[in-house]
Order: sequence, then structure tokens, then C-alpha cells
Amino acid sequence: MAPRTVSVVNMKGGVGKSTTVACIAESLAADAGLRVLVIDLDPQSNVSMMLSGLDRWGDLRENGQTIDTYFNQYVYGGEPKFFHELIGRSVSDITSAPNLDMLISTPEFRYIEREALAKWVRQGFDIEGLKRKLGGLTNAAIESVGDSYDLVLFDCPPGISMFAEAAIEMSEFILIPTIPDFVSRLGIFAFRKRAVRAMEQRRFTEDRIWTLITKFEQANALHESEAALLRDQFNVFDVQVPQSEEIARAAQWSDQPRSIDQKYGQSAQVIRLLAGEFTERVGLV
Amino acid sequence: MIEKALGGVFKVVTAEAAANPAFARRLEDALGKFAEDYVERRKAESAVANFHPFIAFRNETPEGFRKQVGKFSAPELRLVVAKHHLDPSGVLKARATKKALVEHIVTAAEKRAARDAKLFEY
Repeated sequence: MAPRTVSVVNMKGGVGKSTTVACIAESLAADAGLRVLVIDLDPQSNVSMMLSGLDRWGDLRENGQTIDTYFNQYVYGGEPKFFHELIGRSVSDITSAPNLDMLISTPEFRYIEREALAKWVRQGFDIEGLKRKLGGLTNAAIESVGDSYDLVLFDCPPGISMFAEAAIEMSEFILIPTIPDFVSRLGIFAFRKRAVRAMEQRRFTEDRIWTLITKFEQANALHESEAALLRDQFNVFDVQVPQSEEIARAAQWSDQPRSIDQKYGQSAQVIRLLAGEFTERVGLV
Repeated sequence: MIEKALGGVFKVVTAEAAANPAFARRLEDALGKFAEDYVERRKAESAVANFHPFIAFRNETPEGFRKQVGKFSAPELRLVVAKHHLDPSGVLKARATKKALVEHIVTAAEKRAARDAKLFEY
């Protein structure tokens, strides 16, 4: 059975995209025993470092097990690499999440898009052709490992890069984390049309585009007001992720294997609720 | 640390209230005034808790919305303004009349609706 594919994306940075990916991936792998593959498309590499830790990230980078390597071979040529050879296995520091794998990103990834564009445009590709080519490569990659996973999560960079576009086009669902404030809400408007078009191309409907309220502050009246408005305007998760020091601390990888509860403290409860709702929405129950 | 400090302070206050009837009376008056304000504030908060001006504006005709807003008292309307950040420049005076508050909220909702309509076409 093909895995469920979900892109986590927002035009705006700092809304909690990588944290959302990490929380969902770890909870589903640890609590639900799902086989999860995280693909980091953001050159900032935040989710790569959060999930695999700096040491492992460095090792994977040194071994060339990166998203850069996968696309590099099509841009610069060289020895062909299979997609599955590039995946880092059992990356998480959560003891009960052995089925959480990831393809890390590195800061160099930002050059690949530029080089790919330059090369393929020289070869006569137009924008649509470029998108098809990148989409095809991404599709082929996921298809080659599809049987090994229940869920593939793409962590997209802020803005819309060509790689993010390819991920969005091949995803069955789109999740937009958003802080309930004025500028973060703008990020949804900026992105929504693009997401709707991607869904329509696959003959899916808008109900596959979801908003997740993140960094919610209980005592902030403006957050309360904006959250109500978001719920009125968009398809919003019931679960809201609160602003939490524990979740922020969990971003730091631990040398000592730990449980979800040890990693996220009291916030583990809300992460489980989020993962539960996510599982229902993607149909992995 | 702070719990211990507060415990010490309240112990002193409790002992003084028990030993000094005049102090106990002044304490009662202060607490009574606070309780009155507290009840008023909570009443107003619960009256507007389920009212969101931007959502209500979309679901109502302009006249219907104005009527709905007009049902609230001036303190309740002030809470609506504060909660939904309807006066970012602080142009509303502290003693603004109910009429002025209603007008302000209706205008803010109209502007916001027009702006959001454009955003959907962003």
C-alpha cells in the first residue's frame, strides 16, 4: 500500500513547521507504531537536526546521505545513488520510535535549486517543464520506498521553493501551521491559492488543506480572537498546540534515549492528541 | 521560594486582621470593592464571550449586525474592542459613549471584512 503523503508548509517562517513535523512523526512512530519517513526540504535543516541530533546529522552529511545528494546526481551527474540508500534509519532519540527514518537536508541544499534551474533552463526546459521534472524525480523517489512506510512527511521551507512545489503537488494532504496572529494568518492567504490549485490538479478537494494553530497563548486575548477567526475561515485542527517551553526544549536531541513523556514533559499529552487527530484526518486509523 | 515568602506575608496579615478590628474592617471594604468590580467584569466577559465581531458581521446583514452590537452595554463593548484589537491607534476615549462604541465596532468590522475579501484573492 502506498504511504500517505503530507506536506507541512507556510509562506511565513517561525510558525512551527519543523516542530509540527517532529512532534507528529515521533508520536506516530512511538505511540502508534507507524513507519514514518520525514523528508527535510528546508536548507535551514531544522527538523533534520531536531530529529537526528547534530552528531548523527553530521555523520549523515559526511556520508552524503542527504536530500542534496539525491537531486545532485540529476544536476551534476556522477555515480548514481538509490533513494533508499540515502535515508537515515531510526533517527529519533525516542526509544520506542525505531521506525522513524529521515532524509536530512543541509545548508548546501539552497544551491541545488539554483544550479538545477540554470542547467535545465539551458537545456530548454520552461517553468512547467522544470516543475514536471522535479515532480517526477520526487515522485520516483517516494515510489521507490513506498512499501516501507505508512506516512511520508515533507517539511517545506518558508516561501515556496521549486522543491516545495514538487512536494505539494505530490502530497495528498497539506498542513499549514499558523500562529494565531495577524501576520501569520497572512501566510495562509498567500499560500492557499497555490495549495488549492495543487489539490485540484489531483482532483482532490479543499478539505485536504488543513490549518493547525501553533504557539497558542491561553492568556493572550488577541490569540483567542484570531484563533476563532481562523476556525471560521479555514479547515482548522481541533487540537491547538500551545506555546510551550517543554516543546521548545524538546528540539534539542538527547544522547540518552528517552520516552515521549520524558522528551515532551506535560506537553506530550497535547502532542498525542495532535497525532491522534492527524491520524484520523489522513485515514491511518 | 516565592510561595514561602507569600505564606509569610499572609500569616502577618491574618494575624493583624484577627487582632485589629479596624484593620479587619478596612480589609473587608477593600475586598468588597474588588469583589464588586470582579463580578461586574466577569459578567461583561461572559456576555461577550461568544461574540466575535468579524464572524458575526459575515453572518449578518449590516443592519442585523448593528442591532446585535447595540444590545451590549458600554462596558461590554469596551471589552469587545480590547479583545479583538479594534482600536489599534487608541482613538477611542476611555469615556466613549455606547453610540460611539457601536459606530466604531461596525466600522472596524466593515473594514476588516473588505480587507479579508481581498486577502482571499491574494
